[in-house]
Amino acid sequence: KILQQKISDNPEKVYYGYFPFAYISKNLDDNYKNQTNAKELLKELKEDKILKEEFKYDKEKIFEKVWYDYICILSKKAWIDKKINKESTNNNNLNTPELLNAELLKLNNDWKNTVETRKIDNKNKSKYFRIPIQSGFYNNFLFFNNSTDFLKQKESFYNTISFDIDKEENLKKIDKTINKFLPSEKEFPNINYTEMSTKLFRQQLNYFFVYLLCFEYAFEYDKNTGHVFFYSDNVEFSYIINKKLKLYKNNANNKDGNSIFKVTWQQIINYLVENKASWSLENMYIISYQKLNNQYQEDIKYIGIPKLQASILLEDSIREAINLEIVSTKKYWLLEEFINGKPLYPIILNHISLILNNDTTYFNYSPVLYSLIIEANILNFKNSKKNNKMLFAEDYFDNYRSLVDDIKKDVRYSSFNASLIKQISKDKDSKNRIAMNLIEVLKAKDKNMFLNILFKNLNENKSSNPSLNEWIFEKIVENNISYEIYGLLLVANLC
Amino acid sequence: MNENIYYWQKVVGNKSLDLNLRKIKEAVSTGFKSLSDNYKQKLVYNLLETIRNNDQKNFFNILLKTINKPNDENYMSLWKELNQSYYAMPEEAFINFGYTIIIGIMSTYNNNEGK
Repeated sequence: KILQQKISDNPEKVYYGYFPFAYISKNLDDNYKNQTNAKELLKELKEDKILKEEFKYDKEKIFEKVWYDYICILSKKAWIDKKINKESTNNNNLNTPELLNAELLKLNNDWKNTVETRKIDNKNKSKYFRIPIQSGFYNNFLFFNNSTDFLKQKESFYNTISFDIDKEENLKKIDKTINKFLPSEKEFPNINYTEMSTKLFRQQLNYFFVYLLCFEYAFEYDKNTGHVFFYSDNVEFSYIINKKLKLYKNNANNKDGNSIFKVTWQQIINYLVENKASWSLENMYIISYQKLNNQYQEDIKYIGIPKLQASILLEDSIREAINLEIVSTKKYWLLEEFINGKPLYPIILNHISLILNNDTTYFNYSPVLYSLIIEANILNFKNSKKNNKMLFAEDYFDNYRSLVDDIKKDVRYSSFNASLIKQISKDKDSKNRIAMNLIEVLKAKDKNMFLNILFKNLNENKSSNPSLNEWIFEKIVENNISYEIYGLLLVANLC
Repeated sequence: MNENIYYWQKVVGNKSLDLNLRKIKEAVSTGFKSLSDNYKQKLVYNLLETIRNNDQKNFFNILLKTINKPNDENYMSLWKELNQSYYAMPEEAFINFGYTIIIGIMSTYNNNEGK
């Protein structure tokens, strides 16, 4: 908000003063980056009286002053260090302190006499004083390009900020050069119809390239997931979520080992629930990448929540029940798996199998119950959709409301009735034995054997519970679509 | 759930037949309520064995022998149902059918302490 205020007060100072300074300081050659006195310079820049009073709205003068008085001072040390490094690797003649000192003095003087006095004119000199900036993304882009000299750097940086496409050919189009997520000019799918020209943006966004150049700073880095950015079609909302994400990351430092996805989705959903903004859950993406630079693009993902999952997740009880991690073949965060549209049944199957074989694994019934019921109901729902050939069925505009209701009802109905299976035996060991047998045949997807073992054991007592009977009949015997899932729920009740 | 009904219809081909499991279950419950629990327990074990092996011949052999009591009105509705659905079935349909009978029998436990 402070920035917004400053932009509306004096956009020239922000875009031609603060931005170039910050951008160059961020992109100075990695090796020399940490030695700068950027903070003090920034303080001075903020207080600079000439900028404040004299130049005020004159963008050219602002840029000129910031370039020489701040950016050059900022990069002087980096420049000298780089020259020294180059010199010593090139011809090894700086091996004594005296020689080194002499060279330092020479470089210092060169810089002082030309750059600080603003006397750079001839081409050669200008190249000599190139400011050492480097970016993984824009190696060949205008002022980053190694062959550009000091004056050209300054000029093209200025042109880039001011979006001057008449002077800078490269700014006329947007493609891979400016943003690595885009295809290159030749690969652009709609190139036959229209050029991806930046002209269109010029009317609305005066500082288009300022935003484009900064795209990488929107991403948060996480060692497990890579670089992550959250996107929705509501800018304010995206901003809040990304900011929360950053705050969380800084505070918790990932102590609890949660994946950043867990945190992100948690933040998003919490925010949505607070603000009752269900509409936006369907229109969001998390963009992530592992590695992205001039040559490589690794593991770029755009992850969104499908509408079906979104509708279900907005239900508090359901979301809370599956918003945790369980141990299966590895640790799974159920919500994440669900959002990604992966089946939960195999995870729960392994989880229960693990519990039966190993007492130490912690068993939490609620997520198991909810995961299974959600999955079973989605399967049934999809199946009934398949049988119903009508495109605009009665529930077309229902937004999965009926499905969510079904899930809630089924949770109540099944959690009680399936728990009646506990009566099968009073002895813990024999319950465990039955559960083991049942889970083995579930793994083999053998409905016949499952029911056989189940009824054989139930038959031993010569008694039966009508509710349990009815439930087994409805959910397993009669059901050819999701019987395994309900079968597993029975097994879970024997744990 | 109606999926099984359609499944059955497909198998029979041009003959439209419904395998209404719920009706069969109810008919079995009515039919078996007068038998003793011990008898039913043994019967269930025997039937389970035949379903496990998909041995339809033996399954019906045992079942029909048990309910072959023309004077007992309790079995009337079961006979009626069987009359409609007693065909050689594909395994999947038979499993559903067989266990429906089992559940029907088991649901009558405790109702009558034996004759």
